[in-house]
Amino acid sequence: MTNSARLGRLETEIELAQKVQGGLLPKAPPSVPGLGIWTTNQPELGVGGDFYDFISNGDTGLTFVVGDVCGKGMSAAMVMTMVRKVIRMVITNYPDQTPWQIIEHCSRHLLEDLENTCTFATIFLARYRFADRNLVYVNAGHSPVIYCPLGGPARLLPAGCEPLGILETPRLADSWLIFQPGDVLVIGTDGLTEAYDPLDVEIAHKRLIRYTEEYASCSARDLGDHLLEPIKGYQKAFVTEDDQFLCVIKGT
Amino acid sequence: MEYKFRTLGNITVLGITGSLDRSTTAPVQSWLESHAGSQSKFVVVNLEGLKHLDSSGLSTLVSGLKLFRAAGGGLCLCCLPNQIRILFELTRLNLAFEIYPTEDAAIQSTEKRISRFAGLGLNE
Repeated sequence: MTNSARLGRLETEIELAQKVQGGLLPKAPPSVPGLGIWTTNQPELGVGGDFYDFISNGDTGLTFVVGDVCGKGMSAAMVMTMVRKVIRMVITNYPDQTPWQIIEHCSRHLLEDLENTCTFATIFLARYRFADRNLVYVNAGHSPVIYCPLGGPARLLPAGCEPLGILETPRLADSWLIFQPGDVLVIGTDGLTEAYDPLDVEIAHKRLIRYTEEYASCSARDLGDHLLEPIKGYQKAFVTEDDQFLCVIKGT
Repeated sequence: MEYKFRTLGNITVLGITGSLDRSTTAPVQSWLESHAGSQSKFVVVNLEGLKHLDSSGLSTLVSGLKLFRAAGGGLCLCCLPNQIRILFELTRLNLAFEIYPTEDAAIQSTEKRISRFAGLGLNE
């Protein structure tokens, strides 16, 4: 096979993988009472390790997950499909368990495979209850996650434990907040941080926090557009170095 | 990215400088894989000259940690520049690694650990 034929075949394989991965991720965010949700996902190599999922808890609430399997491209995408499926399965099978208990189950199921593939996955997982707007979450090594209550100030929700794939039982408990109308949650992945500042994560996060505060009164979609605006120049000037994912959730 | 190593008895000190990212992790990953099962089972990774670390670089260090642990040894880090330290704190990987402010502190701690292993008859 010639080099150009091999290259063409690889491109076709990546396109097919992209379709498969696209088929696994939600087509559009769900429409649920009390929340406006907007997402965008741009894998650098067509496929990647970033993922998100929304699982309905019937009439009572919504569980959402944002994850990032370390590494990039096809290898990260392969691990991502496994991690996403295990998390979805555990959430569905244990509807009454808290995010921390779900992560504990997932960690046990995934550790061996993540060990064998020398990889890990950062996860932000939250359960939102419609009736009282209670949002219980666990952050396993994921950033950035920014919370901006109505009127501000915005702040990072720091990780409470290691990513999945490091320990069988990560050390953590659930955190919670009451997610009121006007409150905002911005969840990105490290590719977004790098696009804001490739060398200084503190500066990148400060800028993200400042923009979140500045446009917090907008709808989820408009806030997302505003957050992507500053990095459009970066994307044009450089080949993006990482997958970029952004999810904006707004209390309505 | 540049890496170099030296061996001090049972401990190897691996220094990584420059940018450890997707385009540069392969030689470091190969080094970790080939040395994890070698005579020197303990490695101190000095990151003093590391300017940039992305998720692939983090993954390589995590992989090294797992490989050396699985081989009955250990891997610790030292001399993290501020930006690199923040990355470890954000991902909480600072809980997974032993991290020391200086190379001397890392070596001394590793020597104590090896002595404990020897006392328990766990060394070769």
